[in-house]
Amino acid sequence: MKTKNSISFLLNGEAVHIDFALQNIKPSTTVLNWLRNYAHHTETKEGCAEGDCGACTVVVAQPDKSSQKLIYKAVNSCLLFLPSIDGKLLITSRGLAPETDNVNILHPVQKAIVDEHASQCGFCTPGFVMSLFALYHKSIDADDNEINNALAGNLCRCTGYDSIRKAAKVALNDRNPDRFDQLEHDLLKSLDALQQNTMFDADCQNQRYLKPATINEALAARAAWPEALVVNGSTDAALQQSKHFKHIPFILDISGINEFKNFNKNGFQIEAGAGLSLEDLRLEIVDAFPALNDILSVFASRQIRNAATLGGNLGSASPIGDTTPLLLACNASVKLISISGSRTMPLSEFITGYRQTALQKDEFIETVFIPLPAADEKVKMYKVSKRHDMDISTVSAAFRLKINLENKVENFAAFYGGMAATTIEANETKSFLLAKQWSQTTIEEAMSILIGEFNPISDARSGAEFRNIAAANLLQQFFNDTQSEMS
Amino acid sequence: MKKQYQYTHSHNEPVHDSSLKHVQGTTIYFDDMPAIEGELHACVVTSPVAKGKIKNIDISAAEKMPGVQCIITAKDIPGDNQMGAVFHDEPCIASQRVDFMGQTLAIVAANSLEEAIRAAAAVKMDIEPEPPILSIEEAINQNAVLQPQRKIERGNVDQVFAQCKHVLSGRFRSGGQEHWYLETQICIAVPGEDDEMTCYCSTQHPSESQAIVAEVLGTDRNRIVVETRRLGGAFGGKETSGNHVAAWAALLAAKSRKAVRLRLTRDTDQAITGKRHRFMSDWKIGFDENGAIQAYEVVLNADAGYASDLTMAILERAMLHAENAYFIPHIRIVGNSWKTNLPSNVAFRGFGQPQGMAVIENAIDQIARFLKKEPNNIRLLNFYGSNERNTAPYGAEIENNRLDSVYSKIVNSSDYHARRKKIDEFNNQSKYIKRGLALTPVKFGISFTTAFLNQAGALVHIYSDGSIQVNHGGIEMGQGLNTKMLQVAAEELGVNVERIKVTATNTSKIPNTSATAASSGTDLNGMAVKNAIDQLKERLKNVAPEILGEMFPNKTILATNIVVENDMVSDASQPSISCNFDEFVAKAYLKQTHLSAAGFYRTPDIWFDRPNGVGKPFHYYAFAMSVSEVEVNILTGRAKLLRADLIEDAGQSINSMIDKGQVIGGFVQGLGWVTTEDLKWNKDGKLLNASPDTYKIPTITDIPVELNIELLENAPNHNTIRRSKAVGEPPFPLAISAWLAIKDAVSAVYDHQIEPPLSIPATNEEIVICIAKMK
Ligand SMILES: Cc1cc2nc3c(=O)[nH]c(=O)nc-3n(C[C@H](O)[C@H](O)[C@H](O)COP(=O)(O)OP(=O)(O)OC[C@H]3O[C@@H](n4cnc5c(N)ncnc54)[C@H](O)[C@@H]3O)c2cc1C
Ligand code: FES
Ligand code: FES
Repeated sequence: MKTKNSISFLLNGEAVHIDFALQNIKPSTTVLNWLRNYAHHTETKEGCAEGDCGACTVVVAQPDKSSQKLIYKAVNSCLLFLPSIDGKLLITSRGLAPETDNVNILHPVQKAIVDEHASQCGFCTPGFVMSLFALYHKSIDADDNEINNALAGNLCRCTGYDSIRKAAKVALNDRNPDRFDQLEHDLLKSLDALQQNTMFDADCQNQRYLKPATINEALAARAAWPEALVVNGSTDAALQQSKHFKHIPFILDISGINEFKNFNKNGFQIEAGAGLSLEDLRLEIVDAFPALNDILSVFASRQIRNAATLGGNLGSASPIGDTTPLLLACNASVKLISISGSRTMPLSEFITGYRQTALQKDEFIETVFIPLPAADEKVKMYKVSKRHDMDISTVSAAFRLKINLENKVENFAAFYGGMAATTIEANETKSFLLAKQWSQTTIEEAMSILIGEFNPISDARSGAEFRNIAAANLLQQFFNDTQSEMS
Repeated sequence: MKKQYQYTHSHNEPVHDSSLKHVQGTTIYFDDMPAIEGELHACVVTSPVAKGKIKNIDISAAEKMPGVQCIITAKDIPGDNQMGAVFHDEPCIASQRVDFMGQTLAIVAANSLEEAIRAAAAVKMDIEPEPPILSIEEAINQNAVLQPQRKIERGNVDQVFAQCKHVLSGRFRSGGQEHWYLETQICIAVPGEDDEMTCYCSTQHPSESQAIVAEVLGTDRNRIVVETRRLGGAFGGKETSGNHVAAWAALLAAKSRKAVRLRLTRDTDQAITGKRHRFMSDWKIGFDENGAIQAYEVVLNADAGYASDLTMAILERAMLHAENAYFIPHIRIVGNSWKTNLPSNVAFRGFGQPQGMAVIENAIDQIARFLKKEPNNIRLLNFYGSNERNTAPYGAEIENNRLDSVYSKIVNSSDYHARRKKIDEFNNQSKYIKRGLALTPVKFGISFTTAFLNQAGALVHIYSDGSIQVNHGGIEMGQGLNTKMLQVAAEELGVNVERIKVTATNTSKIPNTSATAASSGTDLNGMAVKNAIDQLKERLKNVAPEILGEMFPNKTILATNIVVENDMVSDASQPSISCNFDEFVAKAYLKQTHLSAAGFYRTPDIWFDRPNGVGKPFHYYAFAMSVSEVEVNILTGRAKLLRADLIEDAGQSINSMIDKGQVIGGFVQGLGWVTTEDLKWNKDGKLLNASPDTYKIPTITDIPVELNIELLENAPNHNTIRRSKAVGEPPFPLAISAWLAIKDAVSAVYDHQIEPPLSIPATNEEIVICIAKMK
């Protein structure tokens, strides 16, 4: 098998080549650390090294499927391993305009921040600039919601955000072609010239890092080295290194496998590739599956969602994983693939315990099948978190309901996150509700069951008491929402 | 001057002097400074237990780890093992015992950060644990007093309580708060010759960092240089906490004779540095049927953490603001400081004022609910007067009281009464979503309450090419201090900002400075800069008759007629006699004029007699008000701020855009304190929210789309730099209106019949549990 131990990408338009062995760079060096410590690009800041502040935001651009257009995505460089940007265009705040002390030479998003007095200490600013730059290339006229959504992953402790929001509006209001629009053709050509379809295999500083280019390479590698840590978006896996300073000896990076990024949808179900980024998935299902859009909209931040995958969310089998309750409520199933074949199983069987799955050592999650709710079913998902955006669930719940013509419950499912060591179904409540009138009286009785059905823990996010009350209250919330929809 | 620098103005004001660099990322924060040859990376080894006796620290295995260059424990400290800011009760490295989880037991320097961290993990610690004190109640039970109680008292409190028509009382809690500056604590220490040490460190108080570094190294301050160009946010969190990092880095640099970079990782920073003080306050208030307050008694209990740091000054400010904007004839304010086994709590924007003020604002809210009156009517009734009812509990007169005018302005601009009605109607219709509205006034005293700290220095150089360098003792941490100093210098001297450069703050240029704190940065340093410029101007004027006389022979030119304006030095009485600044300065140099001046300022007429609790501790007061409207989902506890109106009295603002930025920024930081920023510890004293994963400061979605902000117009201040007022801290407590609005919404659940037992912060959990308790 032909392999390479170097990567090539464009940094602000200039070609960069990194030969890991030659330069003695650990392959899992994050893009942030490489920029700051090796490339002297200190404009990209570290505020947390765990994906929560956005100070490290950079934009990674690559051609769309037609290879005619660049797609710009803001990501957290602190959680991005260097090999994942192989063949792509990496953009930092210093790449948006030639260095200048003339405000009119700046990129429009930079100029707007200056003009609106939207930087104070300035430490968060390059990150905001990059999130805004990505938005500049995404939306023509972004409304407040879209601006909030694009910037919720960037923390600022100084400005109180008002001036930044004004700057965003100013910049997006008057969108003219920028330097990157003008250079798009050249950039596409330069990207095309970068060799990408060879498997990356580097062994350096006690770390082996494989990044297959094809599905067959990936399957073979998985079978040959089951001990390697599989990563895709690496938003979960990279924390071991960036936050916990652990050495990861062997990494199998599957972010380059196109077969894992498929998306199909018909009237009955969604087939989402496990390697599809959550933001791409969200954009595909906005209208088709509002409940999934609701939860994905408050899943981490846009930067995280641009990297994080559905496979990673299910693969980490966290009890507070945000997609699981909804997927379980919808009877989703997963297709697992290995060198010796594939199998499909219900998600409920796939998750076997606290951060445990039925995945065999040679398997990947390939596709997630999500049956769409029938027209006469009501499906909703709720997330209770201390902060509305960019927070992990304290409690989450997904409900699915079918009532018959007599307003009796024909079918009901309620799956909760944050209430046990795994996502858990409210079975007692369900048996109580079946065949009952869907009414306030019934709900109140059901809530009294629900409040004692689980035995959650107290932790940093909340006490057990609140979890129990909130779990019950979410049923009321669901009832209210079904009522207001019916009326 | 050779280069034509551009200086950007927008919305009629100069922008922050670094803003073009901010957006490009070309500003240089400490960690952006290139590595010095041979530089080491350092980290701290911290205690895994909250309280106990140190039996042994074994570094032998750690020393053998790859890349390790130097490990230091308490016994290796050449000077004093202490770094307490006021009281010397904080060891630099723990030696006998540990008093909080995260206390430093050793420091490690290695070739890389990863190696340092791995070596730190290999240090073996044998500590005999003791049960820690983790709450104020427990500290009170065990009588763990930090410093003696303080008191401010006026009138006959007990007697009046006995005669009051109504008396309410309660216990009120407000939580701590993590600063969450974006740039974590850092110091790069570079050793020199003869015990010299240069520290590039994240500090709001370079002179104190310098002093502490000198003390731990056992040398004199004249060998230590602290330089700070800018901070990536501070908010009080670098007033003393930066000293620790500086001392650790300097110790390692001195021992290894190499440059040492010590930057705390986010999680370490959150785990080991002090926070805003938690308060638990017992209060009692007596009032008549109209709500006129006759007597108020409050016992403020501050959680100091394990050491003194600035706790007594913070408690003092809480006490000095316990009555907030209200004249209370009979009042007793007691302040207690308690020791717990947590990191020593530190300064945080507001410096105790928000904690003290929150108690009475909650009490007034309770009076209104009790009397079934509009809370604003109670507030208005009790506001300080202008000519009478205007002495504070500590005897000072509340001069230039602007409460009434700000109040009428904000009630109108926020459309308060109409919205109150609408909200009542909304709440009658809506069972699960409730809305609330509240107005909060703020009176904030400006000055360090420790009088001698109210001093500042500046050093202004005019170079012979006409360019000017301004140095001052303040720290630029985002608040725009350098921009304001640039404006002050340019306006006072009569030249354009383009010719001025404000440089990094450096203890060799300005010695013996005070912290950039207490909102006083512009007040003090601005006056010091002005003082330096006044001297320079005088010298330029004195040499002008000679210089201009040579240029315009046969004219009589008097020094008293000379003006400097628009980059020209001219004779005001003879407009044709004029010389451009560059040329004039070049000539002044040839005429052997001293073109450098050191400026100094001390705030006049302030004093405070602590034992008796009387004095005039403040130069003046800043006034502010806010109105907040929230919507609360009572099922999930989610509270959403729908609209906020803020009015701030910034005097005659030097830069209105910068001041508005301070107001909104302070308000939103306060919003975090009263809503989502929650600190929980487990029973061993481990902080559970020691990372941004679980500690939640506001994001852009937490601020309302409708955020109206106004600076009071035509409100020049007396006797301050360019008639401005300090604006850093007063906006922070404006966020209490958001908390009161949440309380109002929660109160609507039972039609305002039941007093909601709500604390700060009103997290979703706090709200839902509070509603459950009201049942
Ligand atoms: C700041 C921050 C905020 C977050 N917020 C949320 C949130 O709101 N809600 C939430 O649910 N999660 C959240 N997460 C967790 C994480 O982002 C998600 O779980 C994400 O979906 C992981 O996807 P990934 O591709 O990045 O996973 P990776 O880190 O690449 O992998 C995670 C795990 O999944 C396995 N895996 C990945 N892909 C496959 C595959 N195709 N087949 C088999 N195994 C696979 C890997 O072996 C690994 O163990 C957050 C994380 C961060 C850092
Ligand atoms: S550094 Fe905070 S998100 Fe990357
Ligand atoms: S400007 Fe300081 S954190 Fe945003």
